[in-house]
Amino acid sequence: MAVLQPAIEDERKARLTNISPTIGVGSLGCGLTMSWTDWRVGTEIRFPDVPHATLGEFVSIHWPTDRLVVEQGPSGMHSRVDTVTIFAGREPSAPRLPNTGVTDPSGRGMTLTERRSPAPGLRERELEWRRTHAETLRQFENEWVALEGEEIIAHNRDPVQVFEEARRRGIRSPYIFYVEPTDENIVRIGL
Amino acid sequence: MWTVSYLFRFPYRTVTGDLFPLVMLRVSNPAQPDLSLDVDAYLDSGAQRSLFNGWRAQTLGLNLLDGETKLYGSTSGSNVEARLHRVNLHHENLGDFELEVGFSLVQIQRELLGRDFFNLVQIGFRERQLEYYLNTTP
Repeated sequence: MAVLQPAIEDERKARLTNISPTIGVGSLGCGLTMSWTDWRVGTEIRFPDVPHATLGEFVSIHWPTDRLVVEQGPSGMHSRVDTVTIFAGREPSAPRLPNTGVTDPSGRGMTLTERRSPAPGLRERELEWRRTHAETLRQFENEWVALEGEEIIAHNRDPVQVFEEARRRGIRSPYIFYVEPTDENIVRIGL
Repeated sequence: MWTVSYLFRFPYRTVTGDLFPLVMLRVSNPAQPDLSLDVDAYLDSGAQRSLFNGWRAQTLGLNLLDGETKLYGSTSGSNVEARLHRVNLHHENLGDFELEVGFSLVQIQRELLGRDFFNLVQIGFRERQLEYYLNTTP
């Protein structure tokens, strides 16, 4: 386990610090994996298996340490899956994606994953705000917060008061969440 | 070899400094659909049933104490008392579900989607990739 743990942490760091050269429209972060050979859902493309392809429209590329991820941005792209083609031409030295300057420095190959974003999820703005404003939220630890867009509508230790304030502000379906204290010594479980 | 196909892939989300498999749902009262709340719930394969805060039931127009009593046993051996109520769950990609959810009589810090929710969808985790996968068909 001691050996495994650093590897897991490295994976998480890689995930959080992806370099993201982008062409077209970015993804909202959900989708499916497709195979180059038959495009069936749930399979992946390994770089060495792809001799040549070209980038299709509405495709962005994320480049983690050893994986190539191609994402589709606009909703309803599932029906256009066949219009998305992918370049992954393997050259003897450094494989390069046209129009991107992206190469495979590892030379070990890539996993190609096609994603789709069928519809923006509920509360995307609020979730993004929470992700980018963790420090702001720390002042509300142990409280309930109603967030609408990028505005904190109400906060209180009593969630019902928060709900009532949100309703007073005309929010029909308030998004109210609890701000847990940040403590690295706490390991969270369900109950 | 077994292969399971998924339509939707979702990244874990950052909460209190770490990443968790969370699902955003719009929860409403079937008898009063105009009363709804957006709830960020943890996917918890170790929970037999889903558990939400009791105050949410009240704001949805449900009489919390009218529901059937259930005790949710924690790993410490203590129980959280809850009342079961049927609610509608809406997910932007997956659609609508009806589920009998436990609403706690005490305040809880995390709302859980347990195996009763898992029974409505096909779900898979890749912890190493910090992603989970969903299909609409169980």
